[in-house]
Amino acid sequence: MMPTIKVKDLRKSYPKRIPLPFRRVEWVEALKGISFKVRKGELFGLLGPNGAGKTTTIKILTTLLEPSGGSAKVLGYDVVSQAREVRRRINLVAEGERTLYWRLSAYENLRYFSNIYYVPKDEAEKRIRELLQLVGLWERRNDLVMGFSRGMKQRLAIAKALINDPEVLFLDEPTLGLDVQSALFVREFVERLVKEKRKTVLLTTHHMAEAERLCDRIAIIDHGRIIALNTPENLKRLVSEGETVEIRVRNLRPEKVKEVDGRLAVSEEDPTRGTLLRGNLDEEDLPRVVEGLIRAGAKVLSVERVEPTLEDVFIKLTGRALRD
Amino acid sequence: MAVTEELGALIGVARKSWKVFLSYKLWFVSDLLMGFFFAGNALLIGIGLTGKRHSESLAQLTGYSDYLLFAVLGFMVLGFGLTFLSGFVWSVVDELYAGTLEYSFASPMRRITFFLGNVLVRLALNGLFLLIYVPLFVVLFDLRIEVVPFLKGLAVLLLGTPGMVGLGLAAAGIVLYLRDPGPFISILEMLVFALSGAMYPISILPKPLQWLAKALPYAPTTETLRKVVISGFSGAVSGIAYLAVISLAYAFFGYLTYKWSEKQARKIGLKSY
Amino acid sequence: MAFLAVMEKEFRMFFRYPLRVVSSVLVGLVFLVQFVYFGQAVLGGRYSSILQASTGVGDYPTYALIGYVLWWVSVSPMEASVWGIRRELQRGTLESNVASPMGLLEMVVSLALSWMLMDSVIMAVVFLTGVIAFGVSLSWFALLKALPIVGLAFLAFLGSGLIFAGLVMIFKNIGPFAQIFEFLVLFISGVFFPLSTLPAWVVSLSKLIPLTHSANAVRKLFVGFPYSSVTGEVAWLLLLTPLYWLASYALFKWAERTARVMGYGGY
Repeated sequence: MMPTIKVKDLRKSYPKRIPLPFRRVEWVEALKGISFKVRKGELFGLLGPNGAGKTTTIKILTTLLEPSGGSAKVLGYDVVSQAREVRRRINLVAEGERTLYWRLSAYENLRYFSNIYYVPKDEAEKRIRELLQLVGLWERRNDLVMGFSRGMKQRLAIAKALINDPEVLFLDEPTLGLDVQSALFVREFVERLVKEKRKTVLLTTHHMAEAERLCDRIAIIDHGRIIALNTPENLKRLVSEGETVEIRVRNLRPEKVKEVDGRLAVSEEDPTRGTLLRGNLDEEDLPRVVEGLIRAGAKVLSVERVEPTLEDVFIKLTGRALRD
Repeated sequence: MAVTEELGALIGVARKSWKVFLSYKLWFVSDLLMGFFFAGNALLIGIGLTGKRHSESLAQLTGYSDYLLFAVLGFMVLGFGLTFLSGFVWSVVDELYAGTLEYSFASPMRRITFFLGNVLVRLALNGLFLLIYVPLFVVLFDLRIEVVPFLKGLAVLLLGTPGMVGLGLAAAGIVLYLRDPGPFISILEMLVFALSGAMYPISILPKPLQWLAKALPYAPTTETLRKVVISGFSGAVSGIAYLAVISLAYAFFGYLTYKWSEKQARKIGLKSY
Repeated sequence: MAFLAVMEKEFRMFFRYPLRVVSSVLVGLVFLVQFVYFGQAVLGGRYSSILQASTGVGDYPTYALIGYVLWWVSVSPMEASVWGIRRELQRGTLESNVASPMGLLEMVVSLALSWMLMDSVIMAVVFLTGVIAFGVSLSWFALLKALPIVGLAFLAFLGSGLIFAGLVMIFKNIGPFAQIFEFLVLFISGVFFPLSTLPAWVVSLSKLIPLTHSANAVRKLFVGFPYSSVTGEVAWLLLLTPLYWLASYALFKWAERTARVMGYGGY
């Protein structure tokens, strides 16, 4: 069967300045040749820190950016040469809060997008109603988006992304900046879309638990390259030999961590609770590492053995934690 | 099918910009008063300087002795031309600021639909303003104009439109790149303002500026329109021919420039604020 | 000093972008050129005996140039009140200014003064360009003589413009209203045409506008009249200035109290 999304050796460079004739500009490589396939009905995640190339990938797949090399096909259509065919069949939720018309009501926003996605009028009326009910905004349909909370705006953005009943949905950091409840709503909603409606979804996130819980398969992306691609379970197997520990310390400069042990990374810094280190260590190494930390001037507050997560995979592969 | 789809999208964009426009009610009043302000100033400058309602020297220079009619026709072209220029440019900039441009560009709708849809409301408003201004000026300011010559003038305006649309598209293409587009847009608008010949015959400008004015579609539209209003189509054949050529040339140039710049924008990414 | 800090910030923000300065000068010039060229085309020259008889200044470019430059500066504190404060409201930086020991009043006055000085720089360029482009005869002595009047006028402009500072804090979105008001001022204070063309009641109304008197006085001094010829205008300015300052202050205090009850936010 033909894959729904097929990305082959995709490359993208940005100029540092606007390239004008006779002007030498430096180019920065954002994507250094990535390849992956997404099957129909799959929930596929791109996981990586900020600046890894996730948004660039989404923008290329949604036809907003042209790649500098390689190819990308969505539903068999080339994203460069058959952009309009692609656009008809997909939709996206872009990153950030300002993506809708704040001066229009929820209803007016959806009607606008139904028009520019060529949804027939009768169909549109029905669908707008269904979608607004589905995301719980039907009662607020005539209110201006300006007065919506961040979570409501995101729910409306998702309704917008379903206005043309797309076969493939692209979500760029869909839960970033949301409160816990709204984030939960979004996750469950996306899960249902895939399970019940058989939609194909590609989402980016730098939130490990989210990727782990939602995605059928995950590509871990760093510095424009895919460094691992598998199901969450298989990815976690990469760190299952040895043990994952969390060490909370105080008075330790982050740059000292690597000197103590290369397998440790800073996963959280908190002025009151101290610094949280994480790493995949062998049992016999643990005392030596703690000793090393103390010698480096740190005050060790706690040492805890924890279940490995995708973060540990990332630490193991890159030596860094997935913080933003 | 494709045509009705595109029309539906056009109406959708127009309705959206209408709703957004309505949310700034007072601008409507301010826009409407602007016409009165310019015409009122023109009238009172004329009376204040000459003490009369007509001017021999302007008649000698342009064939118009009614200086108010001269100015009103000029403003009409200017308002129309600026609608395309500012309208296209601001529809890009406003949506860039609002963060909605990518959603509009990621939809299957054609780009020209997006641009025209966004200025449709302004065009309709321009028409509405004309319907308000002209009768009121006739009554209040003793503006003398006849219907048939005026309609002939509108035909000239229509002829100049493709050129003005083209220039608007080219400007919109450039704006896609700019981090701080405000000054660029106002410099452009002022250039058009100064070189459109709205309030004075361009023959009183310094030579280089005259050439520049002739090379843009606005002044040829203004001057040909004024000529047609007083002497009919037959009296302005060469002006009409020149306008037709330049209008088509700009339409073509604008289309190509915009296409090229959008392709570039997809290479380097749209600016976000 | 807090005022200097605000001024430095505003000047830096404005003059950092040369293109923005160029565009401001250009906007200023083009607008002026429209009316001056129109007047000359209608007049068939530059001298109008009717204008001379009603205002004492017969050379149209001189008449228009002075009125226009002063108008631009006169609405500057108003623009600062409307757009400057609105910008701070939108950025959320107004509250941090309110919370600073400087206080809102000083910050608003500083902002208005800064904008007026920035616009003065721009208008100085426009003025000199106008003098050259329209061939206006310029006497440095007359210019120097007009300076005290210009100073007095600035005080009056500042006082009247600050009325809008109070208004914007309460009504927030008054941009279009302010624009209408600015052009109304341009119209009824006789910037481009003599006041004698307007109906009598409009002329009496225009007496309430500081620009009317300052433009008249500066024009007269500029073409060589002595100070004694402008006593009427100066008296008006001396009367209006404290009145506007008082009105602005009262309105501002009221708005500040209201804002403290209702909150500064709303964006």
